[in-house]
Amino acid sequence: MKQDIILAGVGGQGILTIAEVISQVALSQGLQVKQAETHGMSQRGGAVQSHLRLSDAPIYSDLIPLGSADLVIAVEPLEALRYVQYLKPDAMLLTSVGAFVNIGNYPPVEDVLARVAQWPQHALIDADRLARAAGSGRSANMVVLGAASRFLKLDQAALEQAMAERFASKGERVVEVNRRAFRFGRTAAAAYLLGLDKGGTSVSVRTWVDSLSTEHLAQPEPPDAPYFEPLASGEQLSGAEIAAVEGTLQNVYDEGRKTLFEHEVYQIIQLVGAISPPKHIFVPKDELLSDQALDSFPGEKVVCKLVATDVVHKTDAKAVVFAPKRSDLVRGEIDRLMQRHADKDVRGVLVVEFVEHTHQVGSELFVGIRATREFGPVIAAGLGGVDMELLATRMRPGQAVAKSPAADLKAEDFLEQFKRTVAYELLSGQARGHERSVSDGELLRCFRAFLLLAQRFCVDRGTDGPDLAELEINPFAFRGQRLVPLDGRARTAPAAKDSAPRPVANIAALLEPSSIAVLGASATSMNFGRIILNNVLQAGYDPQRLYAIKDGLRELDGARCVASLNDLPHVVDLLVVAAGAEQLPKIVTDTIACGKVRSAILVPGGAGETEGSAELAVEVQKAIALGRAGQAGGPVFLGPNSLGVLSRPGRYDTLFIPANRLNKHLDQPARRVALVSQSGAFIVSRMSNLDNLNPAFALSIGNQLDLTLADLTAAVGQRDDIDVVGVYCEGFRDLDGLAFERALRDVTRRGKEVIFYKAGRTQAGRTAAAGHTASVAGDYDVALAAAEQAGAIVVETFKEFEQLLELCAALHGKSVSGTRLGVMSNAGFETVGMADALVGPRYRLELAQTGPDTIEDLRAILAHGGLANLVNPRNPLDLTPMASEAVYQAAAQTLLDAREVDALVVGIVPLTAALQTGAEEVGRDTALPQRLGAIFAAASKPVVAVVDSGEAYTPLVQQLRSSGMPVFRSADQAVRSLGRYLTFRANYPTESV
Amino acid sequence: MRYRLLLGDEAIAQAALDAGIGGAFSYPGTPATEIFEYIAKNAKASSGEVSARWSTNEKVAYEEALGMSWVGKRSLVSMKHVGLNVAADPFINSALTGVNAGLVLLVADDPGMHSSQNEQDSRFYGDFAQVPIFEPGNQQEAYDFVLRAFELSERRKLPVMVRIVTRLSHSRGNVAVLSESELPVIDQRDRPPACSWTLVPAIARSRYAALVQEQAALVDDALHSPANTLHLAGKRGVITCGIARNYVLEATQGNGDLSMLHLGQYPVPAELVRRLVDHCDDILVCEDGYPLVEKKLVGLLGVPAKRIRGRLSGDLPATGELNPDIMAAALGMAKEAPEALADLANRPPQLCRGCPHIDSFSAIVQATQDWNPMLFSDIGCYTLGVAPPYRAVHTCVDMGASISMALGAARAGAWPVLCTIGDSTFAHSGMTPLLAAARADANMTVVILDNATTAMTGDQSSLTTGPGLMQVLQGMGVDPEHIHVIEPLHNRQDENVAMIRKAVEHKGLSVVVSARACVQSKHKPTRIEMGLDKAPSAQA
Repeated sequence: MKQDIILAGVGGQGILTIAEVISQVALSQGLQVKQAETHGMSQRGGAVQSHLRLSDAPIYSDLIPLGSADLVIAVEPLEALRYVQYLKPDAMLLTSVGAFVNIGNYPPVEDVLARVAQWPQHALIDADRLARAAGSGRSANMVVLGAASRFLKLDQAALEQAMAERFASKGERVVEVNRRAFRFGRTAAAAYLLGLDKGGTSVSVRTWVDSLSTEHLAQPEPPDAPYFEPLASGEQLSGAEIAAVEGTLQNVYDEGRKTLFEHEVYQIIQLVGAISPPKHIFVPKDELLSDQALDSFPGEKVVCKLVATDVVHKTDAKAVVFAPKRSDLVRGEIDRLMQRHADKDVRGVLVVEFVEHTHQVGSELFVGIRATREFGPVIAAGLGGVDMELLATRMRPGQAVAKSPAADLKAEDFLEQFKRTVAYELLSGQARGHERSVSDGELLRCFRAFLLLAQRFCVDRGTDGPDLAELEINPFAFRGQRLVPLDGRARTAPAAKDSAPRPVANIAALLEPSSIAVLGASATSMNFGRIILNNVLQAGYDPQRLYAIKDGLRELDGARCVASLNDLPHVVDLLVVAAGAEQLPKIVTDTIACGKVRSAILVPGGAGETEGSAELAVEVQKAIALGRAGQAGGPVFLGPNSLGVLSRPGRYDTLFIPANRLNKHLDQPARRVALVSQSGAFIVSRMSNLDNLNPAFALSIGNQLDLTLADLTAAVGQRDDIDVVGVYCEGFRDLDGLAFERALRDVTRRGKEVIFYKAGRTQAGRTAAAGHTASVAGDYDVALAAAEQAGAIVVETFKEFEQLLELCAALHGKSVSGTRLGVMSNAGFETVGMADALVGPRYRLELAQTGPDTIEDLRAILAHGGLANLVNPRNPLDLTPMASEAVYQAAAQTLLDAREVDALVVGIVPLTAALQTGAEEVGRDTALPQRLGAIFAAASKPVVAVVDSGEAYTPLVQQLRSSGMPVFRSADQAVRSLGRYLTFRANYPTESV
Repeated sequence: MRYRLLLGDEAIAQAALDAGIGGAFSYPGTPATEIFEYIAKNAKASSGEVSARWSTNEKVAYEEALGMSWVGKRSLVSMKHVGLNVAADPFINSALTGVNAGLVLLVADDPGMHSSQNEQDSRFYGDFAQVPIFEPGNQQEAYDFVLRAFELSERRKLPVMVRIVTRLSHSRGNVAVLSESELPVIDQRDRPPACSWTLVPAIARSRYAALVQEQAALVDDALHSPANTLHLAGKRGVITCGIARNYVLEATQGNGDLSMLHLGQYPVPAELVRRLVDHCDDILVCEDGYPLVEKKLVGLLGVPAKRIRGRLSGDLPATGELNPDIMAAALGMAKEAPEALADLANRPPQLCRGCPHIDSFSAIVQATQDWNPMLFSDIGCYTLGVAPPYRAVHTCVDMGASISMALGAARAGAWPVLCTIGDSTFAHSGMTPLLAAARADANMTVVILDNATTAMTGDQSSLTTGPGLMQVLQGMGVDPEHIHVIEPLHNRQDENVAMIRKAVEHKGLSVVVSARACVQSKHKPTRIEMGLDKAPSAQA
């Protein structure tokens, strides 16, 4: 038996302890041992190594000859690489992944680990993490020893025993911690090798090993590894990178700071391999920049930047100076900087390589991540520089800055999004007078690193360490298509926490309750409760399954009365609470306690959305949380401040709007539409405007103290009887924006359409939104970007909301294969106006170029109608006021049937004697509504009508709509909305139809 | 007999204990420190059976050992190679006085300068003093040879040197040690005759003649010593000294047809060398240190018709530590090995986080930045202040040289002259020059970096620290007005800078004690124990 081992680490990491334990066991097993160590000055924070030789024959040299070692045991990965010249080709290179960063030029951690992973036989373990898991970070060297025990030709039990004896004098707990550390290391090493055997890459296997529980790690052998899909490198941060970034953040935290210094920001992005910062050296306040250090800077100039906790905008504060690269001049500048800012909390000066660049628009880029309350981690990238801030305010969202929730985002997708910005147009050299200044690959690498950092650190990390609130490089300059950061800032702050999970399965009971109870209906007056009770009954709800919580009465308006919640004869699916807000905490508590309610609507307002009611909201929330703590399910609560719910499938309606104010057409069948709104009035206004909307569900969600917008959007979106969901949102609960984005993704993936209106566009809008429903309105741009990426149709006006809702509801069943429009009207201005509106914000249509067959058919139709000399047979088709219903019908059918036409707009100016458009005529079989209605019903492509005339023609409009066809009251608006719709459908082909 | 796993240093210490020493004497110095520390931790030391206290310096240590020998108790004195420069005076002269009870000088050389300012070879000192030298090549020999050295010391009534190198000092190996029952019985010794150790010229002349006469016997001892072995085989030969043998054997693995002379005891037995040279045509002389044997063998005129190779010939590197790879190359047996990774970031040693020296240097550099100061320094962790970002060390020569050199510079009229010296180094060799500086009121500033320990060698006690140091300074005649105490802390930078400026601007000698305990120390004194409660800055 012979084994030559090199131990490597940094002074103070405890490699000599490892060596001593191994040596002791070898001695007790009768082996010869040589173990050469480093002592003295070289130990101080420097590289240390030990040659350890075991053999059953005499050993001559204390030093291992080159090319002869069988095993490297390293506590630090850079140190592991320092001795490869000593290794046999089949030697095992074992190292902990934890980087010990006490030098300024420490390379990206994963680069170092990748070099270790290139060695044919290697094992990587996260000794620091495993040691903490075992009970003490100081046992990292014993984790490494445990891992090494796999590769040592020594008895494992004896090793563990020798280790335990070494720590015996320090007490039983220390021994136990080190035993665990030893076993964790041993199992983790085996797991790593197993993972590599199963085809994993070093990174993917480490991720898997990191996911193993302490129970797994305490087993003598690891659990079976999964077969690893080939994982693109960098899909997440490795444990080593996380630990390195954590180290930096922890350091900031330990110094009592929230803000990171520029060089610390650079260190973070460098550690994760994002971008190589320019050469820089931090010179602490009381230290001197050496000549040697200064000489190591490239170029002729350096930049000196003040590092102070209370100076953020360094340029504005005159805290940045340039100096020729001469030590006396640089030192002079540093002194002056310090003196000028003597009143500040100065920590030193950052000396940075001078990077040539201009501040011209298009020569700077910013990339930032931050933790948002609504969406969690968010990434943004756009043109950097001061001028840009002004320009950005004048551009539409998404044009100046690409911005997106980062939690589920892939770098490739963000790059696509970034490519749609003006920034990319300039940086990629597409704009006039610009050359490409950065490669797509470099952008991708940068975005990926920022995304990974955001996903890991811009979130609530519990007790793992400080959360990263924001990290931004602004600006990046460019050098040879590479990004060079010129300034960076970051700060830590607690990130928003996810709320406790809700038993969302109970939402089904809310949507289609098999029994309902109403609390708060007055026996003597028509109060809200009483209106609700009546509305439920009028909606056709079975009175046998309806209860009123009312003491002293047998029956109220036909509903059975019970004295209290506890007296309910069975569990009801829905409880509608229409009592005063101040009673809510008690009612919520009772509702949970009685165990007889699956879901509840809390109608009262004044629980959070108004000044002074915040405490009440907190109380309600506490009551919900408290009740839920004890049991798995329990009721879900909608509201408070919910106007109510209309559910056609559930045959109930609690919207407390009297029937004479809004005809809800409850007699008509439900359409496959749901409205989810934070404002109840918004819902009823849409229903009033679109009187044939007849939504299956209208849900007023109120203050979201329990159920959130995301919960309800997901719930209705999953239903088979819904194709279209309209959502009005003012603000999200903590992290519910993210949940909403995920819900949207799920819904749109099912081939459904979601129309999304987000209030809170401007600062004033945000304030209004906060005043209205107590939701602190969040980042409007982020919400829009998120919704758009999740496949929603984002609208900016209420009109647009209505029109797209109508289009979606009416055209869901039609197939959309393109954006080529057929246009006809009996008025020239309409055809011209429609052609003018073909291209607009967020959509682009074209006029269909109809083929000769179609032209011939049209010519024949026009000839037959006597219009041969008046009308050009082409698209757009201006039929002139002479056109009759028959010509209309035939021409519409011909255009619609043309291969080149994807959708048809039929403009009708009813002020012509040639058509039957009067109130008394529109019902006739020969009138246009019936003729076009038939075409619409049979068409596989979208058809819409336009009636741009006054009140007198409302009957015509109603008659047209009754066929299900969308009708607009202005031709250009029709094209704009249809443009949005067709563009959307063409980009997001749905599976249904 | 039982087997133990011991460092070379520990094997020596264990052997000294087993040889029945009455005392161990030393001053800390890498790589010899662990010898004394092992003895000091032994039960015999705690019981008082063996005296073990750090000495002020190596000269003091050697003289203490000599005194113990005189009264009839065996003694071990251990030091690093440059320590023998300090102790050279008593060492050379003790060859003339001779010893009574066995006296072994253990000196640890540092080929490759792992932690030293030179790589001098102590065998030359032994040769110069004309005393026997043992050179163990492994841990077992380290143990065996020390026992043998005590026996020889008493037999020849001479001090005996045992020379090891860093690699052996700091390498562990299996050692068969004697069990209690096997320990040698040591004869009780009387005091030597009166006056025989009094080196007045008349007596010294006769003692030196006796020493010269004894040389033949010493060569004869070496010739018959099992420490020296000759194996004649092929026409290619090697001479190995001490640890170099291991590297040759590692390279050959016992294969090949080399003739081999190994030397572990000196003076060099010429007869063994002659037999090897007669037998071989080509001889490689392998010494981990200076080429002592090679020089003797080649002489001025060389050996006719023989190829003598070694450090002098250029077949081995002229400087630095040997290793198996150098041997393999010289013997034409080099193996393939992977390339070292050339582009790895270096990790040089550096001052620990929170080290008081960092703040001391920051203050000194800031206080003197308007001038062009001369910053003499000394031996200790603070020598790392030579590196960026401090660059606060202009010289480091030998223990105590900072103050003496500053005194020389001050006498040349230079200004400002500062020197930095640690508390332990100050005790070692700083007090004598400071006495001279105080008497002359030289225009210079001595900054004593008092961290209350001997930090670099691993936290050994210091003799001049805290209030004791203050008493020494005052006792030496330094004007109390110009003795300042500062506490090197980041947040005291401004007052420390002011204090140093004040000291430097004083025309005459000023002493600044920069007092804060070493962050690594296991027995840190409190601020009060360091005298900081009386420091002006503490009162402010």
